Amino acid sequence: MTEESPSSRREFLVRTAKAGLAVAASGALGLLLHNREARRPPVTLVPTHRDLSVPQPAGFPRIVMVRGPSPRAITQAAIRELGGMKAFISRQDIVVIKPNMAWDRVPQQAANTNPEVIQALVELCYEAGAKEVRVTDVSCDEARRCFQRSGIAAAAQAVGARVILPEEHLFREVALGGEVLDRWPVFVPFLEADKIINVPIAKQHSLTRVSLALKNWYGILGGVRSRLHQQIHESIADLAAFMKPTLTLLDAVRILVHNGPQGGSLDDVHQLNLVAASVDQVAVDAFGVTLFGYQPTDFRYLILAEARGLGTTRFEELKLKQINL
Amino acid sequence: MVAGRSVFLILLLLGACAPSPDDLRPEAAPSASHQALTGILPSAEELLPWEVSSPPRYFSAENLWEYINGAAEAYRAAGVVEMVTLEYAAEGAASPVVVEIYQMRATAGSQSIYRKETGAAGRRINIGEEGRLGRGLLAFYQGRYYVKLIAFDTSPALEAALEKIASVLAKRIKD
Repeated sequence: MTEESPSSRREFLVRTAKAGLAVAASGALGLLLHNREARRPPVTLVPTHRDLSVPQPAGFPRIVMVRGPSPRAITQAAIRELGGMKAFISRQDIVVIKPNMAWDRVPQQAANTNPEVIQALVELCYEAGAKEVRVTDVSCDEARRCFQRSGIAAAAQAVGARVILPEEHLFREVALGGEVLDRWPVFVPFLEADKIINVPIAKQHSLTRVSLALKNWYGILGGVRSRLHQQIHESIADLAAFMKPTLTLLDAVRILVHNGPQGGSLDDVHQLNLVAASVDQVAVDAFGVTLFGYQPTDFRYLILAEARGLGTTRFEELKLKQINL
Repeated sequence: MVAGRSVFLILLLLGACAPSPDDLRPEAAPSASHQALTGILPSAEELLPWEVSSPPRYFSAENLWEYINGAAEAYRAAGVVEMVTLEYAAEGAASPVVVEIYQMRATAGSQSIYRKETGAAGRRINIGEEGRLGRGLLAFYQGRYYVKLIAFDTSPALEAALEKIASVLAKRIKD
């Protein structure tokens, strides 16, 4: 072996540096590909609180409850009484409607939002000039089955909505900026929407006693959602702070009073033929818990949400309108 | 020689970034307890004309939330070990039948979940140690197994089918 000269040592250093760069680049590429294999979502570093609220026109009630035999008619009436969809949706808006369609259940089992309610909302959005209405949820059970069995996919597509399956490449890790929720994979349609309408079904829930509008935001998240169950009230309040919708409409056409969130037996379902709508998502939930015989103050997540200024639990003090069709 | 060393380093690091042998390994064979649950599932002949329309999916106590979300916590508290779910369909039937079989650590767990979920709904049926048939849901427990059958229709024909499938399942549980 011959002794290397200073110049050859320089050449060696240059070559080593180049090789190092190549290694770093190929390593980064390999890491990127490996991460893609592991399906890790890209990271959004900027906190993106989604405040999609719109000032409600003056003179209209802040919360509306409508009862009647037709889910479509009571949905239309509720939106009309709040000021009409044109007050909330602008021309060319991309609107995302967020039902609860997390379960492989038919509408009669009351685990998912009523499809006729969703269909009526899609129509109203298009009539108000929306460019596109997207209907989606991050389901618990297999999405394709849930979307189909719930009847929501067919009902929404029939009136021109785009139904988006929660495919894994459609999640982005977002800094939620919550007290317990920090970075979490969020389903991209909820990050891109101009307006969002939250349309939960009212049902009993084994962990939170009820599942209404604020709990429905779990359905914008990917990742290991069971982690949220450890501090569930704080998590729900964090999500409500992150996501302020344009409108909230609570579907209580049928409510699940036992064995939620998934249900199964029709013996667990009560027919109320009711929807409640508001620009205040906390107020909707505060009203919703009364359908199950509770008071808003029975729920820590509602107290937390109100304390953070996200809405009021004293829905009776709002300008309120109740209608029977 | 130096260039050769660089190429070696690159290949070494690329190799480190490649999928691990675990990633390339075919899906693992069912665990021993999976085999216990699989052993309860009837053969194709036993349920005719009902046939498997959606293959079995297994969930453990750790990932049960992926199937039933927040309800998993109650099952975990009752000592769920794992569960299997699959779907049967029959030509001309108004609805498929979804079967869920939960294996608990002890009979106390299956009994407590059964009682919590069924309450007084529906009518008592003579299947398992105790069973009930409600509108669209049949549930029973036998030993440390809690079994639910869900249909999306409440016709007498489907209720009869639920009872038939449940009876076969109960006979296959040897606990």
